[in-house]
Amino acid sequence: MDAELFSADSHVLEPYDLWSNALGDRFGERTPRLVTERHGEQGRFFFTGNQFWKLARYEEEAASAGAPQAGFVPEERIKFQHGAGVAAEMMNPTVMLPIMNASNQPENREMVKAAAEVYNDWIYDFCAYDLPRLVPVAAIPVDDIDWAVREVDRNAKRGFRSIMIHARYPEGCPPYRDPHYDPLWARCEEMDLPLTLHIITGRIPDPLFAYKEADQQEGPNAMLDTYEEIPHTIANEFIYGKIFDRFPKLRLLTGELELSWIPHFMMRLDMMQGVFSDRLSLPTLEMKASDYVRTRVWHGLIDDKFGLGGLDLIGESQVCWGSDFPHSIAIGSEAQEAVEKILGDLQPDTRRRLACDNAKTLFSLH
Amino acid sequence: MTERFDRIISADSHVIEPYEIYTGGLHNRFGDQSPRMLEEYAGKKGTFFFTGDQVMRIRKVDEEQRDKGIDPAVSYDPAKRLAFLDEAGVHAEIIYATLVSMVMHSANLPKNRDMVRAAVKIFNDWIAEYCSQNPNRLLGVAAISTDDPKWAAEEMIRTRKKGLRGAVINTLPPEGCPDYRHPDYDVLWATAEETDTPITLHIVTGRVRDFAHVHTKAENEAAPGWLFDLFSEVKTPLANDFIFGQIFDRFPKLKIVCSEFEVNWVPSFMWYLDMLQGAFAPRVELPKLERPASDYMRDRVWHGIVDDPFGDHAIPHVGVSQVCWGSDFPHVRSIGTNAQAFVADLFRNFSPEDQEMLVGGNTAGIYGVN
Repeated sequence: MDAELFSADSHVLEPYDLWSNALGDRFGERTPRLVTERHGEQGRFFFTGNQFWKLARYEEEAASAGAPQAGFVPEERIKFQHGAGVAAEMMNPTVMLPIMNASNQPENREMVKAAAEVYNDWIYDFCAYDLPRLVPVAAIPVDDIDWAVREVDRNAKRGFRSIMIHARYPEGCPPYRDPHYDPLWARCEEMDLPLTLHIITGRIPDPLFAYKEADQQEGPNAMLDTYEEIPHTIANEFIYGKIFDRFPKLRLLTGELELSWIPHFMMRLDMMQGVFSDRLSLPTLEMKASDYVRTRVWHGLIDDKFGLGGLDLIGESQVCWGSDFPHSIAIGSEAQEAVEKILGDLQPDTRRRLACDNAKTLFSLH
Repeated sequence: MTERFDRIISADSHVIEPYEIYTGGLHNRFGDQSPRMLEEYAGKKGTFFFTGDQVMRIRKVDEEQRDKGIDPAVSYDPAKRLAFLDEAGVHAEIIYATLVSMVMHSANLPKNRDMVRAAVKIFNDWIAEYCSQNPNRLLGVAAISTDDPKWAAEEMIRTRKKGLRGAVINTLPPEGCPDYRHPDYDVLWATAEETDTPITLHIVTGRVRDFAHVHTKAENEAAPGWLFDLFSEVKTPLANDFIFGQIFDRFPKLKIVCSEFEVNWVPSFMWYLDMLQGAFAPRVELPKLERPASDYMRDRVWHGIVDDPFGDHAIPHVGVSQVCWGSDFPHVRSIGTNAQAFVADLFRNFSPEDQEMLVGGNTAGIYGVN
């Protein structure tokens, strides 16, 4: 494929000692760090604050894409981009994702905020190597709203182009639709910073790292639940919770959900506003419910083979291709061929929008 | 009227049982746990039905039918129902309960389980009698609570002998019961295979309460997410139990019908199933299946479609043979006397052969309708 590629969803692999080095013993046993045992099992694990990740897979996957150090060495990442024909990437975390999930335990919240500051400084340094090609996304836990707004300010000023919040507000916190969060939405609007909602930052621990047999057996369902968190947040909070109506310039991107779920989501949203409306006392919206999905939400596409059939419903301006590199379903050095395979049947203009232009527009990177 | 389709069979219609069939005998046995009418709830006067754990506002359905010019008696009077079918140009209906579906949900409270089994038996006897008016056109589906799998298997046999054509079970086993993949349930799946009984998973019979009967401000605010939970609940037993729990592999003739969940969610679900078996396989220790995970959705599961506006996009991925139109009559979204015109429009982009399958041919195949 000849089109310029802009990945709206790529990842770094943070050094595993990033937090233990930066935070020292400030948070004791809660500190995210490398450990060698998980519930009696010996090995190489990363403790996130509430979950043990078995390591090695991500390094193997980056290595299999021919870029073993591209996750944490910016020079190597740029070389990888040149080799893969990728012009730029939105840089999301890897290990910081499940650390965000640890906010569901109130005792972890101070640690998660400190860990986010450490991460945001690190990703800034990583991306500063070549800022136009490496675009940083800040990790912003939301349980302390004053801190969150300050952290947004701090990062927006130095070139971050999106902020990643929890896919669902942490346990025990007010729902996102509560005016408590309005200063955060207002600041993102003011600074033209789209929100990123990415899987495994919500309430459900990453099901790929379940270790008990019973949890493994629940794996299919846990995986499906993981993908349901963001649609819930969009429906309950941003649409029917009227955040989108109160903040008409606020935009958000869903990370790793793909596309084929969206027609169903739009149908159910409209059913609530239509056939079920007289059984529910939902607020009156300023637009047709599904139109928010068509105009205020952007959707990350990696390689969903059933997704593009619904493109006319979703709108071709709302879809942004992302490689997910270097994760398990990632598109690596073969990006040009892979994107050709996914988008090849589309008209050239449409292809260009999905592969590049929509992300540039969303993140104001022209 | 000129009928375009010779044989429309609704794969998902409902009766509305007379409230009295539950309120008399059950109250003597189960007291305040029993389903019954209420004239006041949460300080509001009205007509309510207590299901065992939820309170339904029951005026709505009658009002909706009257608004559409339909006599509410078609919901419980078989002679009037047959006249309605003639008027609507519908050859036959697969008929489910209304009230007892909600009563089935109350089996999530262990104290209700004996009551629920008693209630579904009452329903099954009543619907068998109702359908006996014309068993070729009124095809009843038994309601079968699953907290006691042996009882459920016996009730399946009993209701098949009474002429009922399928069985709707709890979408998920009641709280605290083993998951459907547990061998305790094998007796039920084996009975369904032996008696060629399609098993239906229908909304509101599982663990998620019906969002349409919310009463408080907090419930209303949470309703959008709640609705998604309700319409997504079927994914759990399909993924965890029937596919990766290998029920389908162990019982190769078992047929599952998903009712009122529509179709356009299925491609996304198939995509995630195949990711579990593919990209994510090295990280999750799931059993090895006999086939690609999504293939089970293409030949072992049938999907009810009422009025899914995005069905055109999904049906080719799911397979025309797996999709069955149903009217949902007489519920809130239902299609009534305009059925012929409605299905003609809904399936306008399909070939005439495919249309015949979607509007009745597939349903006839599943339930053995002549």
